[in-house]
Amino acid sequence: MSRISIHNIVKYTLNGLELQVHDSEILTLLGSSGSGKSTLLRLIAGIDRPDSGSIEIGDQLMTGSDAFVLPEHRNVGIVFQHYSLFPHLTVRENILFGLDDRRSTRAEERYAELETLFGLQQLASRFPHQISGGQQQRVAIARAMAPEPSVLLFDEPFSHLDEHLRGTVRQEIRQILKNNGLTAIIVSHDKKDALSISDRIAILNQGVVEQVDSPEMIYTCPQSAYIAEYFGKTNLIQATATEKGFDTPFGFLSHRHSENTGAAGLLSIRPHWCVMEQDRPFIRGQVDHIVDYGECKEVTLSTHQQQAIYIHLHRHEPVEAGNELGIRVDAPRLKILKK
Amino acid sequence: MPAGNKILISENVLRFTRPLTLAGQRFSWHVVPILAALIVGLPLIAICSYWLVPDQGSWDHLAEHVLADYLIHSLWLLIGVGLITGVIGVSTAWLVAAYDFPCQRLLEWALLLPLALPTYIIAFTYGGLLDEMGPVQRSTRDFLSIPLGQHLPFPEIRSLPGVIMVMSLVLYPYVYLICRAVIASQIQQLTDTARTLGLNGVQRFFRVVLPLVRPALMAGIGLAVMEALSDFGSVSFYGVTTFTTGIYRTWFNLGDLPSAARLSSLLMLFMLALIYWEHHSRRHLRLGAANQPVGSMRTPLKGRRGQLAGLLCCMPVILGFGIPVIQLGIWASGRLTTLATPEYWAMLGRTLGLGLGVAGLVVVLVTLMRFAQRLLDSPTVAMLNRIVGMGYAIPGAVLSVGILIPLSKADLWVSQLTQSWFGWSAGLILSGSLFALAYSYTVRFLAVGYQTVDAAFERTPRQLDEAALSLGKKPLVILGRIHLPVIQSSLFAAVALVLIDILKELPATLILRPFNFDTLATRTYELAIEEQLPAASIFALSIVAAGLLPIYLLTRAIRNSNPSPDPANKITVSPKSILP
Repeated sequence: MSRISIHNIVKYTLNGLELQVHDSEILTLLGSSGSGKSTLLRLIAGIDRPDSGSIEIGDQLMTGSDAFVLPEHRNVGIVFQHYSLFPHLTVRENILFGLDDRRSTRAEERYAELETLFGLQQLASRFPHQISGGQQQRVAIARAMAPEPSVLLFDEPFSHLDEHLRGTVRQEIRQILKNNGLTAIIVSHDKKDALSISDRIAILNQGVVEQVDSPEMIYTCPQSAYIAEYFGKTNLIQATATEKGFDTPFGFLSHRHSENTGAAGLLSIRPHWCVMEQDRPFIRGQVDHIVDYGECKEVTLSTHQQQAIYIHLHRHEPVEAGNELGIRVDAPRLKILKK
Repeated sequence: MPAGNKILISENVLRFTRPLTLAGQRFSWHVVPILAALIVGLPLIAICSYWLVPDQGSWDHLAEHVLADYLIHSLWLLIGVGLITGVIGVSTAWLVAAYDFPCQRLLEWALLLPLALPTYIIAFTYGGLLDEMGPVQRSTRDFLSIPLGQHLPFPEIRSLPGVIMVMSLVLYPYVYLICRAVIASQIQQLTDTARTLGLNGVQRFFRVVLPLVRPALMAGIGLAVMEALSDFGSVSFYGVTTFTTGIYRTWFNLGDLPSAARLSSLLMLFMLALIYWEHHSRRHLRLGAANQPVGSMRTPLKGRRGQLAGLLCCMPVILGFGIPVIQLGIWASGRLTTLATPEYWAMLGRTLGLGLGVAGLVVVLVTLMRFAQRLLDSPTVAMLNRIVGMGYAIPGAVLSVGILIPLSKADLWVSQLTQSWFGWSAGLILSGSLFALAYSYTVRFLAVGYQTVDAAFERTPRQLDEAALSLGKKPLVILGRIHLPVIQSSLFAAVALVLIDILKELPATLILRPFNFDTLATRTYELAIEEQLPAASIFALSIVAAGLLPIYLLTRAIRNSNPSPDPANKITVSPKSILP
């Protein structure tokens, strides 16, 4: 059992943080820089101590008011952002560094396993500066996994890889973590990384966890305007829930929802949920300007309600600045934001 | 024409015009680095030239009877000081950088304090403290009521092991300084990684810290050993014959300049080997620099272990600074009236006057050198400047011989000239005057000034020069109106650092000073060698007090660089800028 319970952590920007990570789960901590993500990883690994609060891994209290397990006794693997490979050791020596008996047949077997798992054949006797960035990262992960830790922590693991390599590496790492049933926390500031690799995502904002949910729910059903905007451009519209939909300044928006009638706040409507509709549009406006993003066109509508509305259209749609346009909303689920 | 072509053309124009505007019209600026290289190179060439002059007989005698002694003693000094400074330096650096224990923050800078004591001062202090008539042996006799004639089983301080011990006590900070910076900036995160992989403190030290700090350790040991080999005061006070005492004796007692020159060139071979060693080690310092440092947590050491760590780090400070300074203070307390004598102030005035004059000259020279390098942007000039920077490696005794040779030749030539023209001999106007002394200080401490000014120029963005050039300003105007105001404080710091090094300098001053010209250092040495330790103490303390200023500057530089995430920042704090 290697679930992680984090309770009421206070340190630097972290301000009474609470988080539960399930056994064998991949959880991504998402937040802007300076939000305290990396600090939290260091606290879990025991390289740093919180001012107050407690951390449990499995059934053992690791950090508490009068308990502190040293990092060397935690059995927590960590992959640092800059990999931190030992420059004076070869790939093989780096990977086997954490094993007690590095010359035993057990170590031989473990190395052979990891070598195959991470595709590091023929690199055993190279030094870190002689291999590529992608290879360095695999070595760093292999090294962290070698002593069979109960928990693996990743600090911005993809930030040094180019866009092309990222997608592949994400899927590889996810596969390896899942096949080995490891509990992992990944720190990232990249929404694509988070959406594609995680079982759940925790959004860190102003020192507390704002929402923990599956990628699907985080994206379609954010709890706050901060989260909605973190995952890309969105239209925030004032709304009040009624029985069959929402009352908005643009008129009535018909939608099946589970809100209490009378609940009021902001709705987040993604630009690509807006579809052109000539006959009975929800919003009508004039095309102000068009930005071409390649895969789609972003059209900004100016409306009578004085709020600009962003919509994403297929690039072959014949739209020009000055056109009158009507749209309807085709959203999977809509929910009133908490704040 | 497409836009791409236009850009191509303008790039070509730039490529061809840049060298023309920057270097082509500025040949005159080449004079500065060449002149500086000549100033530093002349004494070395002079020394080596004596291998070409046929020997007058005494060299064979020297080579047969004393050279082996010089060689063996110098080698022991090298090995002993290297080992002891290495062990003290790296262990204290590791404790202070990786652990939290009582007084850790205080010790972080206090460990540098012994640098304020020149080797000859700690040598005569411990000599006076521990020899047969010293307070330690006397009180032991009193306590055990042992009569004066009977021998006490104390190890003899005035011996080779004694010299090695006392020198190491003030030279270990060279090792400590570099190792601490490297551990804190580059290695700490790797030790964090090692912890998460299950290694305890001792394992981390031997499997991560020691292999990675090795280049820094070697570079630090190289500097410490160079200082030890250049030392003249302590070895002569303890009666240990080394190359420096040999050079001094051969020149002063035997008046044999050719043999002194040959001895000097042999010592320079040692020094060159050490320079190579130090530079070679430094090259590898970049190895771990790719790792961005994150503010790492120092492991708290509580209870017994914390006290033990605190005690271990206190020992070098107490032995290398506390005890000698207290002893000097006790001696000086009975002699405070010396401070009120006009002789003291006259001597201080002379020393400071000469020191300030030379320091100012050095800083002007290094500023011009460094600016020429920036202006010309040529690797040759950069290399010339680096060679000039190696002047610190020429021991004072060697340098004096190297300067005496060409200057006395020049004096002879000038005298012959004045004799034939005016019927009057000019005498020793160069070799017998302050000129020779000023020359030796310039060569020896050019490096100290250069490093300080170099760092300041590095920090000034090149765009400032380019902007001024594009506005049609001439180089000297740029230097005067942009660089000098920007690096002003570094220039003052450079003057101060060079001045303090001049105050401490002993062997070159002893050999080259004009008749009846005393500095604090020579007065200290003369009184100490005559066993008038209490009288020497007041002069020694004045030197130590002056030596505290560079340590303060260094500490401030370390403090400022602590929160900085830039590892290069910390390594620029070079111990060579506070050379004793």
